[in-house]
Amino acid sequence: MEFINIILLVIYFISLYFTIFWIIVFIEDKPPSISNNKKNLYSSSISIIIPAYNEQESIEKTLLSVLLLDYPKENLQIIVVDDGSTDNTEQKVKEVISANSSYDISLFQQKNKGKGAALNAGLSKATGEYFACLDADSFVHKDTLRKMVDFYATAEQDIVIVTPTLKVASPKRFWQKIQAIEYIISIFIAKLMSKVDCLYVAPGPFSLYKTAIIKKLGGFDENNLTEDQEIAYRVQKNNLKIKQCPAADVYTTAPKTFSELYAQRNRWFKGGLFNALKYKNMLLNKSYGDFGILQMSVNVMLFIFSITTVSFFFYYTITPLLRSFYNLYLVGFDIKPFLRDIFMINLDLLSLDITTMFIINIALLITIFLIYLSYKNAEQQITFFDLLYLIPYLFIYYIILSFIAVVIVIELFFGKKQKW
Amino acid sequence: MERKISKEKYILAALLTLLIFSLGLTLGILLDSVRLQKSEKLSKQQEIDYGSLQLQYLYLTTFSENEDSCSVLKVALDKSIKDLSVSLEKFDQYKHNSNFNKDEFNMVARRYILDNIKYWLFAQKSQQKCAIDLVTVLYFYSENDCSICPDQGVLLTYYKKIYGEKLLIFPINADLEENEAMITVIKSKYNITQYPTIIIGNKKYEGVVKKQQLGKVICNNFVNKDICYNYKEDNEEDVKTIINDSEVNNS
Repeated sequence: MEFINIILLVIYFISLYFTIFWIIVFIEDKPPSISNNKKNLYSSSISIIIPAYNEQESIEKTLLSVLLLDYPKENLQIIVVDDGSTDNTEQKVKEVISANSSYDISLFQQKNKGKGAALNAGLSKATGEYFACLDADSFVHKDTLRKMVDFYATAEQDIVIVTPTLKVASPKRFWQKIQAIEYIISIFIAKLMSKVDCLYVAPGPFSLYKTAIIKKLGGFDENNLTEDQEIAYRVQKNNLKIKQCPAADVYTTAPKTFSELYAQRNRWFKGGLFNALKYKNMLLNKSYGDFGILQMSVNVMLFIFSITTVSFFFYYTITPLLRSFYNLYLVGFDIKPFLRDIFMINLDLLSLDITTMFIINIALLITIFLIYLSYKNAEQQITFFDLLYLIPYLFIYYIILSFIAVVIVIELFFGKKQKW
Repeated sequence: MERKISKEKYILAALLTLLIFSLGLTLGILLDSVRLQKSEKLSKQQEIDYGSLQLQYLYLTTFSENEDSCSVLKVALDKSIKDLSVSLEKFDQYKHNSNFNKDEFNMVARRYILDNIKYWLFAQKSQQKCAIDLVTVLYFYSENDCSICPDQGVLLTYYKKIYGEKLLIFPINADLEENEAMITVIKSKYNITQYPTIIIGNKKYEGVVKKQQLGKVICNNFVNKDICYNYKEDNEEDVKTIINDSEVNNS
């Protein structure tokens, strides 16, 4: 057996293993039932921090989605932190403030210091028992806050972050449709991760934090590309809990074009890599339970898989394509002789690699089952068009993401060398 | 918070994954032996076909000089060689996708080489005897240490597609030399030291013979030049230069 085949089999094994693991988590653990009998007066005070940098287009809509929240307004504190915007963001916020004087909305301005610093500025002003952050490109469903406060009231005591179910806001373009599928699947995976306490991201848009604890932990990391991930790692490191609140919908504007998507994932991957390195001591560390053993290994493996995916992509598609082109060049692009028997395709089942095909097909079936469960979980109908977009999602999207990851690894590698 | 490790889930997942893998591997092993059986069956068929051909030839040389038997022999030769190249192609596919039984496959591979050499000899013999207008190519290649061999393979396939049964190509995988002494015998006759090397009409060509030259060499070896592909515009002089070239190549 060739070396490359063995590597491929190892990759199939690991991928299949984790897919099966999540299916087991799905089947075995029933979600904790939330008792709705308990009367909740929503007396908890909530601070909502909205960091904004040049968001004149969307800040109004974001603020309005907060004002429309089904929650007693006397218990809401809304803090907009203008992170040195150079456009009309300030103007727009002031308009909303004057039009809604019954709400506690405040605007703070600072020099441009980045999102982490803006969040900390907001956090220092926050007086609520809980606080949530809402990016200016995201919108929150009116029931979401209530559901999250209910969730805090009925679930275990040591939860310090409750995460929402993040969806793509009205996907229109090709890349947004693909990401819409990705987000729906992420919601389901996060639900399973939540069951075994493996959440390692508290999505920037509308995760609900326990204010006192986050303040005690030192607030957000201001020098981090993905501060929403860093805080989640820190919470895990301190053996505190992060749980997903079911059906707490928050909508975010997904990148429209490929270059926007590239910029976003570049930031995510780099941040992810730095945070994984920052918390590398948790890797395979039994004292962090499933998070250390399982999730940290998965995070490391995802990067290794990205690199191998790209290598195999070249090996199995680009190389044969180049070879075919070179063959055509050898025969002077005279394809007539080959055309004669082009219709004489006789498929010989014996010539197929049945082992690999069997394993891949099982993995594909399980994946399709997971996607079905994801749509059911997110209460989304699968339309015919969703099915169409599933094809590029399953077969192309992850190769592209892997390419981005490889580019970043290369960038970082050469970036480090330049410093020396 | 006391942190949990879901040990049972890890183990259960591992067991299920192993189960699926062993199912896949079992299927692979099963299929591999089916492949091997089929290759062996095809190879046995070749043996019988060859025996029949030999007998026909013997009959021909012993009893008659008549043209009719020659045409029968020609048809039989065409058919057997066509079958041989089809089953060889199949065998190559099987071998490529086979993860197990490497030794058994090597044995079948040896059989194919012997078949190829037998047919090559036979084709040359019957060519003289019956004046069949065909060109034989003995093609030495290596899968392990010859990066340019596939180039020659592509060009030979190209002309095979054009000339069909009039061009007989007998590929010899030189990697099997340590198992098969017959390869050494032929190699030393033609003093073959590098790959790819092709023998066309008793002349040796080392390295990749390019499309134009290969076309001319093949065409040159046909008695009836009318069947040549794309060389109708060529004049006599061109053909002469090629003859000289090939003789230089041979020396």
